[in-house]
Amino acid sequence: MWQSASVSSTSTSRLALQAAIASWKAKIYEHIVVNGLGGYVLVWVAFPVFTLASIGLIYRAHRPGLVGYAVVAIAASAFITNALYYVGQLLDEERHRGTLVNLFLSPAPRLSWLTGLAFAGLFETTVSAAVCLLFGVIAFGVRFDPDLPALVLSFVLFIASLWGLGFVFSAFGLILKRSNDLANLLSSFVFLLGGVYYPISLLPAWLRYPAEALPLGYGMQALTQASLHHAAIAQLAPQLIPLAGFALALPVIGVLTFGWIERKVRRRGDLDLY
Amino acid sequence: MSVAYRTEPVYLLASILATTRRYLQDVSAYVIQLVRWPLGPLFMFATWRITYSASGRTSADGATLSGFLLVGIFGSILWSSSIWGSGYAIQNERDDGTSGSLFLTPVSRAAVVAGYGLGSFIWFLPSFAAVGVLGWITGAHFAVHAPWAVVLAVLALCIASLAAGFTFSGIFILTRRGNLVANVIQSPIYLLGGLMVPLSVLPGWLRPFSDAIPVTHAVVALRESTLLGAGMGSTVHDVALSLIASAAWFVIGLIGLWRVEDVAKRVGQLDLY
Amino acid sequence: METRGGAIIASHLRRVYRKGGRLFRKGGETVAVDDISFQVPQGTIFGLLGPNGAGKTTTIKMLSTLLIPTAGTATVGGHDVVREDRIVRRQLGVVLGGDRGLYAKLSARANLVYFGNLYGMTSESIRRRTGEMLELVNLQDRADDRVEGFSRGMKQRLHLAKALMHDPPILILDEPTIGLDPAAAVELRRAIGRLVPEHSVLLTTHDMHEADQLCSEIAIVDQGLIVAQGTPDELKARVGGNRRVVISTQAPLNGRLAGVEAGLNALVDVQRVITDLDDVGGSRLTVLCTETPRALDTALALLRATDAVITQVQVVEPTLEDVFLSVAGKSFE
Ligand SMILES: Nc1ncnc2c1ncn2[C@@H]1O[C@H](COP(=O)(O)OP(=O)(O)OP(=O)(O)O)[C@@H](O)[C@H]1O
Ligand SMILES: [Mg+2]
Repeated sequence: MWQSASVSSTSTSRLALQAAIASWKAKIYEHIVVNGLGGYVLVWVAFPVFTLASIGLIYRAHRPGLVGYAVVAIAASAFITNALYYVGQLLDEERHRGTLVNLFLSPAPRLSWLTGLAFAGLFETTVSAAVCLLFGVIAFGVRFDPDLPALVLSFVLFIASLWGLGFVFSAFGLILKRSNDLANLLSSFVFLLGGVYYPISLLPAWLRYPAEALPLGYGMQALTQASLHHAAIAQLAPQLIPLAGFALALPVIGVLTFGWIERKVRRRGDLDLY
Repeated sequence: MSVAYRTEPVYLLASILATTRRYLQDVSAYVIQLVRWPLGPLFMFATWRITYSASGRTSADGATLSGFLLVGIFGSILWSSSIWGSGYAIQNERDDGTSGSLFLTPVSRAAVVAGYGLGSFIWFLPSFAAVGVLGWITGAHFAVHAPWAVVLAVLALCIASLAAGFTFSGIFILTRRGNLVANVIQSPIYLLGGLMVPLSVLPGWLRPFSDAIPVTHAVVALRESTLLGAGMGSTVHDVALSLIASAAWFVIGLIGLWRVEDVAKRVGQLDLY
Repeated sequence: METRGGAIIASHLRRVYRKGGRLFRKGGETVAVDDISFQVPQGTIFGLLGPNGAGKTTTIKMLSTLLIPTAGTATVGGHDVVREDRIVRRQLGVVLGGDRGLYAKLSARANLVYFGNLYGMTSESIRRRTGEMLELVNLQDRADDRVEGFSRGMKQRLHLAKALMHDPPILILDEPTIGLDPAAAVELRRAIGRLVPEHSVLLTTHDMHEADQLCSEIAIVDQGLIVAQGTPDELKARVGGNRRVVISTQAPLNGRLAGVEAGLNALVDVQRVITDLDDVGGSRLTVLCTETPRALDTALALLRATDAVITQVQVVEPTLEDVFLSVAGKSFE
């Protein structure tokens, strides 16, 4: 006879943690072992360096002051790319492989395996950003003058709001399918308004308003100031306060959107269709 | 009553067209595809235009900034259409789980790749239209003296992009991360191919890399013939360079395609089927 | 034509998969197909039978040009599957089955049209065959719906239509009736049965009944080797001991049975006779034999002579399952 008690069940929080760790391990394994360490990391790492070279070369002649900004901002943009192409595509990728249904069938909270999967990408992204900074130092002679507490705080808030965004994208990817195309479209939009190649203060006025409604510009400003010009937390308050708002609100919005879209998709019945 | 078969050349052409048609049926099934292609180039143009303004430059390689960027974006759309079309063809079949069925057929693999390329080119027509509208709005200054030189340059650019698509279609599969690689190679091409960055700002030691990319020469030819009023003579020179590079890439691509199937059949572990 | 010997000839096929080898770690090896040889005679249905992981699909992939054998050779329609792969593909219709392998965003019809093109058929042929095939697999009503919304059975039927589209002389079917409901399976088996003798068919299955019914010859595969081969009857003859006649009577026969036993034991076909009581208190006579008709006939005649009232007669023929159990020493599923 089948006994329901034969598998000991854990509390929800234990389950969430367990699911997050298991997903994280699975993803890391898939990336490093299955894809091969050498080629994959090399390719991933090289990604933003060419963009940085392009922008740096354009600025160097007449606006050398902007080169430092570009180096830090483009390094940070690796995390944006991660949020868009990686976190944003997680669900769709699982669907493509036919494993999404099984993730949904599990009783673990959605956010736990999503976070676990997202963490796996963070490692590669960090390496990639570091290579970017190094390239900035070697190729363009950029000098850093960091204020550590401000830098750490800016970074944490920046990442939190990015993940929130990533979860929102991920949910929309689920409904639109082809999340890769969605990511491409969004990335062209985000690079225009996110203060990656230039500070958003240089945008024409009519583009500055939508840019200020996104967390990215504040994050970039805070990160560049804190790392290049030794700006302290108090000095960065105008950027850090709105950024903290985004960092708190976006993950919540992400989870809500996700729940809403999941219901919608289940109603529509194409969870496992591609 | 038995089945009648086409003669070999007709078969080749028909399989290209059938694949094109299927590609179009396939992509049009997704809403996102309908908005992405016309909007993408607009965002891209704006981003680079603002970057250039911030840089304090007023011209790039002798052309106006808008003109310079429009030609670059035109080239990059062609490039994207090729990479995501023909370049991504086999990867796409694998993702959709149809590569087994496909490889069971006697069809020429190159025909399928070409079919994707053509389909994607058609799908990108709205993007080209968007670039045209941009050119009109921003009042980019065009100076065409030899219309045939422009046609020639555009053709060379198409061939150069297709060559890239062929080359990458095999590589994508062999690296197992097609999507990522396709995205990653974009930025080196913007830089080295001189699509978004003037070749004159590149350090000298990077030039050989630029020269090996067929797109580089075709874009130079297109810029000079549309923006700087170049005649047939200098265009033909650049187009010839572009075609030589394209030919080399095509050969690499065909070898790659052959390799993919061979590796898949030997190793049996590329998840190809 | 050199194909007279067999539509498909596999000769010492072997396939080893390397697994998990990466960077500094050398992976192990899986021998999926060890050494397999067989011939599918022209115009017949040949079955490959075996448990999960026996190597059936791997064999099929090698024969259908999707996988290069580690060793051994094979010809399809007289052409080598490695060197003449393009010619082989033209002659071959393959059902790999499952949920994948069809263009999900395309309708059933568009899928068939596309594959017709990939096989180089003329537009006229494509149009005609598409209609015929949709009718054959009974999908006319859903012809213009997208495949993504199809049930598993519908997809399986479309797979078969796809394989038959270019009217190939040789067919390879990997578990063709998997996922079909009983009625649809019967229907499809009938359709497969009608394919011979114009076509030659190689099929794999887990369904003993299906193999028995369809195949004129069967090879039982286990762990990459053929462990038994022959016609279904030949195979069953190997486990002849399982052939038996069981007869029950209303009341115990006691002493009257000795004569019956002696009479039966006199027959050459009969190996052993066992008598005991059945669940409801009557006598039960079990005759183990190599031929059932004569044993049955004799047993009934002898019993009637004793005035016994016969309540139940059972003739047990060996099944392929028995064959499989006896050669592979384990059960399916
Ligand atoms: N691509 C592959 N890489 C590594 N091993 C494989 C691969 N494909 C199959 N195998 C292994 O080869 C063996 C035979 O597999 P195969 O699919 O041929 O079995 P099968 O007889 O078709 O089984 P089933 O009845 O379950 O379909 C199995 O042990 C399997 O794990
Ligand atoms: Mg199998």
